[in-house]
Amino acid sequence: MNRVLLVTRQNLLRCLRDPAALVLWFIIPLMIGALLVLAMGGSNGPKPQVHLLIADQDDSFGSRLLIRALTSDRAGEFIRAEKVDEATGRRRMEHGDASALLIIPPGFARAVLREEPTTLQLITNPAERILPGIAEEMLRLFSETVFYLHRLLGPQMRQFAQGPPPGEDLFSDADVARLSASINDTMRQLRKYLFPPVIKLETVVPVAKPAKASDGSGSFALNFLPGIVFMALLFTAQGLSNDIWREREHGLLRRVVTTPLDLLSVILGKLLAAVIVVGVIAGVILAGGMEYLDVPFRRWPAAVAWSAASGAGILLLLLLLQMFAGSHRAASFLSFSIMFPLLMLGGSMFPTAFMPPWMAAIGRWTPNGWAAVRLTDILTGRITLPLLAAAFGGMALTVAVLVLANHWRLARGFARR
Amino acid sequence: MPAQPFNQRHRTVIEVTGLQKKYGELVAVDGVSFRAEPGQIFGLLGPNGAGKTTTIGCISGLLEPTAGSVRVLGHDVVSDGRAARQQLGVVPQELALYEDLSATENLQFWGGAYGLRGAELKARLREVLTAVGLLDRAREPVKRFSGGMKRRLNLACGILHRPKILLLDEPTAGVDPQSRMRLLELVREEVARGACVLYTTHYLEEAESLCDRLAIVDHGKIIAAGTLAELRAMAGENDLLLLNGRFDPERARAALQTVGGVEVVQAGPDAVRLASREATRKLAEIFGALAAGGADIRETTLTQPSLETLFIKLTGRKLRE
Repeated sequence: MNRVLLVTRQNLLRCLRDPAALVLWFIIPLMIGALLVLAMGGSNGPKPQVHLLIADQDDSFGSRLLIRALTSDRAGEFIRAEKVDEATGRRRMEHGDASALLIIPPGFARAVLREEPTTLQLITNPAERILPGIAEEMLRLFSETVFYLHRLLGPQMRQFAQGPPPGEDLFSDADVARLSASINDTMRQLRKYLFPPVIKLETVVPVAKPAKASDGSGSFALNFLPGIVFMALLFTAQGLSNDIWREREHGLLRRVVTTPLDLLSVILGKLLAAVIVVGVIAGVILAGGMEYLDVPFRRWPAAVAWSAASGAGILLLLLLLQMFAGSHRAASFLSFSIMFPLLMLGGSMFPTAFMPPWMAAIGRWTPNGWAAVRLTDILTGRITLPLLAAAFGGMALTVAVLVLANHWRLARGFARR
Repeated sequence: MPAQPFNQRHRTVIEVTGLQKKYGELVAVDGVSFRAEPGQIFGLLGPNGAGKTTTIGCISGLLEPTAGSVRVLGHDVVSDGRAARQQLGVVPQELALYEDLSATENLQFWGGAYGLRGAELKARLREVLTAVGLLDRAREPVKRFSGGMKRRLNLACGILHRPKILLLDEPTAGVDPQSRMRLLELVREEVARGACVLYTTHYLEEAESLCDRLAIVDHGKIIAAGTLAELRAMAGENDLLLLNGRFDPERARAALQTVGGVEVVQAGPDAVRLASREATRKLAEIFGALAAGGADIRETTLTQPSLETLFIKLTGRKLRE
């Protein structure tokens, strides 16, 4: 253990002697992260809205009712509707000017009242993933509402849709009374279910913490925080792992081989130093991020521990790759050419939750992406204790395998040349 | 094979037997054998690429021998490597120092690698830093040191733990004369306290002034070995004469046969090497014979008997060619 601590101390001292690198490992990810979060409106900025173009070809009371429903006070929080004709709407969609185009066909209202088939056409913008989905979801809700209204008040709606008797402009008073009485009668039958409702939905919003994202799905910043942490960890791991080539070029590894110090102690010492360095870096970034996003601090220790463990795994992975390169320059090139795709796919340039599904699927299986998803789960409190323990167990196993692989490579030749 | 006690091996601390190291088809060390004792400086003398560093690498455990064996105080360096390495102090040819750390921090690390801790380490740090003349610069990063200072620190890292055997691989390469003298003094001090020093160099004067026993290495083989006196005797009493110019090698050889007491070591179109007792007295006769043989002599170099002359005699070329 003394020998491991000896190597750890030496590595930490050398990190401290290069404060510029340490600062860069902090600053670059924070700068990129801050810029992207600001660009996306941050956690407390204006919420993204669905820009919905509506081509109302029916122009009826029913279609206007639908449009009003989509732009009511509650829905208007998410949707900004703009009426257009179909041709204009299609042209603007081709230019990516809106999230979606809704085409309400002629005869829509009549068909709805008669419970006849009709089609609402929603053309979505492929460049946007989440916002068109909101519009689609609201329309699905609308069609379900219509379905249940028909189950309850179908005859009355159909009678209303047929209009006044032939030769009459308006419904007679008797017809209106009969329809009203019929509706009233149905409502009376439903009274015991509706007043009060059998199912009571209770929404609890924590006092003074409206922005807290318990599941994280709504906050770009909270989704991005793990990405920023892992960007810092990748930069740090790259820097620390590249050091093995400097040690080799200065003959330091060869000198180590001639001492009683075993190479496993060298690997473990480097690993421990990396855990401390990435732990501190991740700890500071997470503390700042969690304070900014109002995430409970009780999740901080697990988040830091997970980040440090992941950082150690990433370091060992990059270390192993670098030791297979033919030269220092090739090692740097190799690690950078692996690091940047990992940053992109693993959610460090853009959160995986906001990526196209295929890219997110790949990203979640990159080492940093996989670890970042677990970190997001820790931060949002979605992960259970057994799952957290399993994640740490899996990481420990991975680290153990990588330690052995690194030792094999170091002892088999890298340290002796 | 169990390690044998030190005193049962006739005070031999390094025992190299039939050492061979191959890199594919290239034989870097070819059947090298020698022994070294405590309080002795054993020199490995040879040109660059002769196999000196490879030999040191095999003894230090850095390289695994292809054949043969190396025992350090009775410990086989392959099968009992850690115990063997514990007895060694290795000073590599390259400056294997952490440049961003201070001299003290470097010594703490390398001392710690040999198990030095606490008060013992602290005391040795001061002693060694004083010995190498770096006490006043101990806290500075090594990157600010001059080449000579780095060389001295490089040596200090190897002697900090008082090794019984010190392997020095060209420790004075590229240093100023003042630092070289200080380094050689330090080596003598280590020998004085009873250490065995294995010293590689291609500086003849260094080998002559420092080493008790020497092995001359060329093309991976020991071509001569013994004390300095023994090696000088091998070189004989002859002076060595190098003549540069234009020669017909065959005619030159034939012409020189007419001069008594002259041995042609090497004859080529650009140079002829001769060995002769009191060559200065025969210069006129030699020049005359060669001129009659059609030679055009432009430069003459006379070398007194030395390790250099022995090396030339054995290999037909100079040590630093």
